[in-house]
Amino acid sequence: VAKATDVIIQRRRLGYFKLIVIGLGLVLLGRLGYLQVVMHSQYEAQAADEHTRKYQIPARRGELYTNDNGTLTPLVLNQTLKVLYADPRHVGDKAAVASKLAAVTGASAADYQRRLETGIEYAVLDRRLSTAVAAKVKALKLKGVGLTDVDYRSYPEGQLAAQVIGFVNADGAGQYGVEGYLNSQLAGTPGQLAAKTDTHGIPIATANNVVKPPVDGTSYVLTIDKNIQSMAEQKLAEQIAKVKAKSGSIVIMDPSNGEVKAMANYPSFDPNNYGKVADYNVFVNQVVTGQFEPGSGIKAFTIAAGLDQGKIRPETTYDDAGSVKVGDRVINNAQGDKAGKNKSMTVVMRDSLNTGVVFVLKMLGGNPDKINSTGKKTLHSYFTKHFGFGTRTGIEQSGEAAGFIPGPSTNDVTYANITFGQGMSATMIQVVAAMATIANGGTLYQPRVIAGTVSDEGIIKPAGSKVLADHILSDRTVSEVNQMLQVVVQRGSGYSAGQMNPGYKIAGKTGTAQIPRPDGQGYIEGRNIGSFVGFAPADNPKFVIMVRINEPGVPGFAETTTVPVFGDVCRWLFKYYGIPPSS
Amino acid sequence: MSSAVLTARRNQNLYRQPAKLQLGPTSATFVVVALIGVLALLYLHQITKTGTLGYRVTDLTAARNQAMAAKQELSVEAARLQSIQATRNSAVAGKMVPTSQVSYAK
Repeated sequence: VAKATDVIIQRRRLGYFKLIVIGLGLVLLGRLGYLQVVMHSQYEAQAADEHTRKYQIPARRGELYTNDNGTLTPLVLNQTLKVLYADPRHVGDKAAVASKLAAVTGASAADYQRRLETGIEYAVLDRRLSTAVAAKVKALKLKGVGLTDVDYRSYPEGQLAAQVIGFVNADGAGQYGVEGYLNSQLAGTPGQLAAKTDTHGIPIATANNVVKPPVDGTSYVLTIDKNIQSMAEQKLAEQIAKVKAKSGSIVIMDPSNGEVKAMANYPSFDPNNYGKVADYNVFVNQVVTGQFEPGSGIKAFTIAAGLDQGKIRPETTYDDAGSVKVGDRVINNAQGDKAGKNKSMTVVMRDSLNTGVVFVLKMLGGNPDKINSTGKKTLHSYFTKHFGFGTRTGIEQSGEAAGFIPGPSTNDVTYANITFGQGMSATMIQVVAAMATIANGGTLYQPRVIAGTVSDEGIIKPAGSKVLADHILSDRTVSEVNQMLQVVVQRGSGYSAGQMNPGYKIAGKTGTAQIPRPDGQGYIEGRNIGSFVGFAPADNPKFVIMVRINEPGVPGFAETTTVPVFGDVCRWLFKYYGIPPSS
Repeated sequence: MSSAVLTARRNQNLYRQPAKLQLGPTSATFVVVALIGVLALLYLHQITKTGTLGYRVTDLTAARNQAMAAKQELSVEAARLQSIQATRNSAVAGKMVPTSQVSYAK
C-alpha cells in the first residue's frame, strides 16, 4: 500500500512539475509573442534608429561658362576647399599655435591668435584653404585644431562680369545676377542616403541601403563675350576716372536676337571676396535694376511714334520759340539752343529740342496747338506695348526693375515731360531693347544673358531667342528714325563718336537727365546722368550700345561724358568683329 | 577446395540486397546541428565579407572625393591662368603691340 501511495505521490508531483513547465513555457511564449509580434514595429524602429543613419547627398551646383569662339570658358566653377577651425579650450599655447599655423597658411599670426583668444568653443581661423595647405596644417598635428570640407564657388575671372554673375552666399544661396535669378535651377536637388552604420557611425555598404541619388544643378553658357566684357569694363572705368564721375554702366547687345554681349557697372567687386564689400549697392546690376529718368534718348521713341502714326514726317516743321507753355509750366529747350522758325523733325532729333517732341505729342492727338487725351493714349501705347517700357524684359537677372510710365490720364505737364524722358523711369536694358527695334527693323527681342544649357559632356543646348513684340514699327518708320539718328552722330551731340570712326555709319542719341530729389520736389541742382544709346553700323547693325555715366565731376552734357566712350567701344568692336567701313 | 564448397558457391544467389542505412535519432540531431553550423558559418562569412567591402567602398569613395577635389583645384587654377586678367598681364601680351590702322580688302 505504501509503495502504491508513493507512486501516486510521485505521479502527482510529476503532474505538478509538468504543469509548471507548461505554464512557464506559455509565459515565455506569451512574452516572446508580445515582444516579437505586438512590439515588433516599435523595436524594429528603435533598432533601425540605432544602426541606420540618414545622410543628405549634396547636389553639385551648376556652373557658368562663356562661349569663346566655340570653346567653353568657365566663369564660375565649384571647388571643395577646407575651413580651418579650432576649439580654443583645447589649444594650449595660443600664440605658438597661431604662429605655426600662420607660417603654413601665410596669413596673419596675430589674427589667428585674436580669434583663438576670443573664440569660445568653435573658432573659424581661416577659410578657402587648398588641399596642399590643408595637408601641411594636418602635418602639424596641433591639438584642438581641425579642418573641414566646404564647397565654394570659384570665379576664376575675378571681377569680370561680377554683377551679371552674382555670387553664392555662405548658406549656399545664389545672390544677385544669374546666381540669384537661376538659383533653384543651378542648385539642383539634394539626394538622400539611409544606410546601416558601424559603431563609429560610418555607413556600411549593404544591399538594404536606401539611396535617392541627387539631381545635379544645370550648367549654363552665357551670351556674354568675355573679350567684349573685359574691354567694356576697362573703357567704362577709364572714362569714369577721366570725368570724375561717381559711377556708371554700359551694355552691349546684339540687335538681331537680344543676346547681351557685355553688361558692366563701375564700381564693381570680386565675387571671390564678396564679404569684403562694404556698400551692398555694388552687388546690384544697375543696367537691369537701376531705373532712372533716361532723358533725351527717349526722344527717338517719341518721334518714332509720330512717324509711325503718320502724324509727322522727318521734314515736318514747327516754329520753335525756345520754350513751350504746358498748363501752368514752361518747358524750355536745353541751354544754348536758339529759337527759330520752321525747324524740321530731323533738327529736333539732332539738336534734342524739348519743344519739338512736345509738338510731336500734340500732333499724335491731331492738334498742333494742344495736348489731348488721344495723343497721350497713343504715346502711352507706343511706349508700353511697342517699346516695352514699364514692364520687366524678363532678362535672367535678379532684381530687374519694371520702370514706370504714367497712364494717359496723367496731367499734360507730366506727359510733355515724358516725351523727352523725364517724369518716367526706365532701365538701361529696356532702352537698349527698344533701340534694338529700330536697328533690326521693328522686332522687340527679350534681352537675355543665357545662351543655353551645357551637359556634363560639354554639349550646348541653345536657349533660342524670344520675340516680345513683332512689327512694332513700319519699315518706313524704322528707316526714317535710323536716318535721323545718324544725323545726330554726323552733326549733332554724337559728333565725336562719328569722328572717332571715319567711314562708319553710326546712329545714336544722347540724353542728359536731371536727378530727382529724394523728397520728390524737383531735381538736384548741378547733378545729372549722362547717357548715349546707339547702334552701328547703321546700315547693317551688329550691336546696340548704351553708356551711362552718373554724376560726372566735369561740366557738360552727355556728349562730353558718354559719347567718347561710346565711340571708343564702337572702334574696338569694328576691329573685333572685322567690320569694314561703308565708305 | 572440396567439391561440396564449390557446389555451394555455384548455387549461391549473386544478387545482394542493398544494406539499409538508417540514422538513429542521435545521429540525425548531430547532422542537423552540423548543417545549421555550416550554414551559420557561411552566413557569417558573407556578412563579414559585405562589411569589409563596405569599408573598402568607403575608402574608395574618400579617395575618389580627394581626387575630385584635386581635379577641381587644377580646373580652377587652369581657368585662372587663362583668365583675361592673367592673359593681359602675361609676358607674351607684354610684347604685343596694339592694332592701329586696319585696312580691308574690297
